[in-house]
Amino acid sequence: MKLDYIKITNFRNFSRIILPRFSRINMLIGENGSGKTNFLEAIQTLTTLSPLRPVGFPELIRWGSDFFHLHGEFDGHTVELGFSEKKRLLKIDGDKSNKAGLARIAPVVAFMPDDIDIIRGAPENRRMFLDRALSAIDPQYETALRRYYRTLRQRNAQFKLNPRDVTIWDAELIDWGSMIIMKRLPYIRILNDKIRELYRELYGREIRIRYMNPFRIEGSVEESFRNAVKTGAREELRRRCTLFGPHRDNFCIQMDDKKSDTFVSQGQLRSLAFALKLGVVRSIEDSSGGRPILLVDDVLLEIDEVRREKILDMISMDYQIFFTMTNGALISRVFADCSVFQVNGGEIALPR
Amino acid sequence: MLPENIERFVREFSRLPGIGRKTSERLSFFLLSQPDEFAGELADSIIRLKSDMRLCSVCGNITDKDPCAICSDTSRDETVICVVETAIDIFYIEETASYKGIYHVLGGVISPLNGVTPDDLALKSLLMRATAGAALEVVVALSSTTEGDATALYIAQMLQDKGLKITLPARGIPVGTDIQYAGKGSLAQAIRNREEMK
Ligand SMILES: Nc1ncnc2c1ncn2[C@@H]1O[C@H](COP(=O)(O)OP(=O)(O)O)[C@@H](O)[C@H]1O
Ligand SMILES: [Mg+2]
Ligand SMILES: [Zn+2]
Repeated sequence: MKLDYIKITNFRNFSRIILPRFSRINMLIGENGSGKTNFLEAIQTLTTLSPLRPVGFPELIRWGSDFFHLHGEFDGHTVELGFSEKKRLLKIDGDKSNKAGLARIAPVVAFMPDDIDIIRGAPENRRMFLDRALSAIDPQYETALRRYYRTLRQRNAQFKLNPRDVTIWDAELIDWGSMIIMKRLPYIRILNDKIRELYRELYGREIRIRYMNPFRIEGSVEESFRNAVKTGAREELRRRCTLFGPHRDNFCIQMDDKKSDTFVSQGQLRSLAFALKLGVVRSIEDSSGGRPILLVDDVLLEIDEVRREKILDMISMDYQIFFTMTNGALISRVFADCSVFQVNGGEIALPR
Repeated sequence: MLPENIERFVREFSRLPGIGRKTSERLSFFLLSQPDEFAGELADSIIRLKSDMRLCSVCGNITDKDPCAICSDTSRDETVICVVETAIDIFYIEETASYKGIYHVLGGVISPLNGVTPDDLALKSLLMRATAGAALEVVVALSSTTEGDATALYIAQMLQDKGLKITLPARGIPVGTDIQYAGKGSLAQAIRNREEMK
């Protein structure tokens, strides 16, 4: 997929930007606070309806105005997103549409500075990463997740209200929870393949992802889950909360039999996070057949030059990419099809 | 600032489901522009709605005489009981004219988050009606949400081994609180093609 044109109105620090063409490789260069991430955020919001940073739509409106509007052309499809007075309107090729329609036309994957928290942060970060990535390609997963978390809240409330009745929620918990785990496991395999490939290439070392859940899976996931709930019933009653299920699952990255968080450098952490996101890219390609657009925000800086070049080799031929950086000298190589945009105080200059 | 009377109207009306302040304000100005009789009749209809209606002591339906019209209709099939969340669901199912059995209103679904336990629902009376009377089948027509599905399972377990067939409206079609949003046709189909609960 390729973005060919964008018009941005009253979004973040842009009042009006029109960029009539893009290359395969696009570099946005500007000082801190100039609007580079905001530009990526415009693309991300237009194509996924969720901003890059965890804010509501009202915060995306340029201060002092009362609406924003985004208009992009993707391989001949027009996508428009307007927001004003708490209402948003998405149109694809002139017709009102929704998230599902977008995923088919313009899949996008963003590589952000805080991606390293997926590896370094608390287990919630990893669960959230998996849940977001899977929801984007599998509407059934999204439903299972919603139903599971609703059941979990009811079940935990039940422990407080009347623990005797907690089994009322077991069937829902096990049904939806098993579906989530069964969809996560093959996804972990995709991520595993990507991360091993990249790590071997860059660092010549072996690495793998291990999925961890608080019960052993023997036979079917559902059966194992049911057994765990049964044998853990007393412990749950004592602790008065739900102890088993995908809300407690985690994954870790093991390298030469040591855990990643204790042993790797900032550059390695960056590369690992990058590899995970490449796994997300691959899963989108596998599920939709389309090549996502990559938004790469400042994340290559901490990787040394030799490895940075290798990473660029791995992605620059296959995807349209938007890179941001404060200093253009950081990427010295010459790309065949490349445009450089200077970003300055909410203005973006067309490439000369 | 609106005059006190309008403000009071707006405050009360915006408590209705689906009606916000903006709509209430518009309604108030519309009412003011109408002949006096209109406001009088509207107010009277609201008061009568509450004063002349009660709950059927048999099924929990909303009615102006007890037992309700359905419970006192001898042509209804008493071997089938349809369990619904609220009385309005009866109204929607009746509109489809595709169900001839009787009803039982639960008064909600199990939801500890809202403090609703099985004891708060008309479950004991359901057990009595289903086992003491002529019933052969219980149709559990609750919304297909986490709470609706868990409540349905609870009912199935409560009634198991009692010689009753427990069924659900055909899946894939929203029922229960969603009944009002399902088209008449698809609701009729869901009620007619019910499936036995596993
Ligand atoms: N809703 C908004 N309206 C106007 N300016 C905004 C808004 N949100 C953020 N900004 C401004 O955008 C700038 C940050 O832009 P950003 O794209 O994050 O910078 P960078 O180029 O470093 O990535 C800040 O100066 C901030 O004040
Ligand atoms: Mg930035
Ligand atoms: Zn009745």
